[in-house]
Amino acid sequence: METNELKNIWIEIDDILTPKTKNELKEILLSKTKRILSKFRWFLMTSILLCIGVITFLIIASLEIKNDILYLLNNAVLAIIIITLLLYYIKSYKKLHFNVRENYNVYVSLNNKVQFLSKELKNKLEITFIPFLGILLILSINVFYTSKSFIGTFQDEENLWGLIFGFLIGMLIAFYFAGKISKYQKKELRILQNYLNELESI
Amino acid sequence: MEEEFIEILSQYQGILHKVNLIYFKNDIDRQDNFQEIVFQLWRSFPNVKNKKSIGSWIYAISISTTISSLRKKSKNEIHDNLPEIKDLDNHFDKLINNDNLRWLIEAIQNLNEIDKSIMFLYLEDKSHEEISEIIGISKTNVGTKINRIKKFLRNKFNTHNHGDK
Repeated sequence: METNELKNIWIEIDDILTPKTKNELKEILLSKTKRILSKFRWFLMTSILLCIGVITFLIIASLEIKNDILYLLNNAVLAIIIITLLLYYIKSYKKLHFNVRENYNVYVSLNNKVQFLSKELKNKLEITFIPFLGILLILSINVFYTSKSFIGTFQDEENLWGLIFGFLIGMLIAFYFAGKISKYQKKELRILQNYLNELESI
Repeated sequence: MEEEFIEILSQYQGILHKVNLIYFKNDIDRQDNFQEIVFQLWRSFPNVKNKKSIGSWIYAISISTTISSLRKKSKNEIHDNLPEIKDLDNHFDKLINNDNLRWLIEAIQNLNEIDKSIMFLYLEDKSHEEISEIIGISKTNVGTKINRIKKFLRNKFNTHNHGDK
């Protein structure tokens, strides 16, 4: 087989391609952009609404029990954590789907994706905040609905066991989903890392 | 800007079709990936025009987008080891009458993802320097890799032809 024979065979590929018209290309671009944006809007709106819901509850509860300093402090810390997490997730989502990097090279592009995913996996923000967030939220709801003081919730043994049980169930659910997400990201990272290793080993 | 982008895309769309043809074996995956590449090209379009050759940019984005989206399709993760599934609704399969071309496409489809991209650029008549720039590996390594793949394909081609006789 001559060196150029492969190229001569390949050149015939142009005959089997069916080019799309400009209108079809425009349609593809518009529909894809629309789909990506609506996915982002859905994520953004759901997160913001959830956040607004919890913060509204915290404000109402704090106004209702404004004399309990420890309760107010609990709700303030909770609000700060929720807002921080919201901003972090929006930033992270935008970085993953909308960040434009100027690269023309396959290696750099794969390397950027690998680095981004590794950073995401190393970031233990959720793991650090989930139990803390869970404790604060369950305390806030408990104090509001039982009309006990913040300290009082710890003094009532039955109530305390209920809190511990509720907290553990909540944590199991939260860590189950966090684990699922992390497993998916690890799989993605492993595949991309293999491609990158392959490029590096050439 | 959109008109300009569509104009360029229209001229260079062959690259996208060819990348899809060697990386995916069915029309649905090809269509999905075509849309994904168009979107990625559109995203980076404002930053790239007038800076480098448009062709190289389209090759690089098409290949890296395709390799990245393969990770989402678990069936492709190990498809190198799977027997080829003949898709009855495959648009290109119906159009390829040339036996050698069909053989070449299938042989490239069975290479690993990185070798596929290097061989594709070689077949597109890109110089070693251009391939090195698009893929991001050294020129010497491009040469070595191409020789190895060509030798592999040559052996396969001889076996294919020998089998036909």
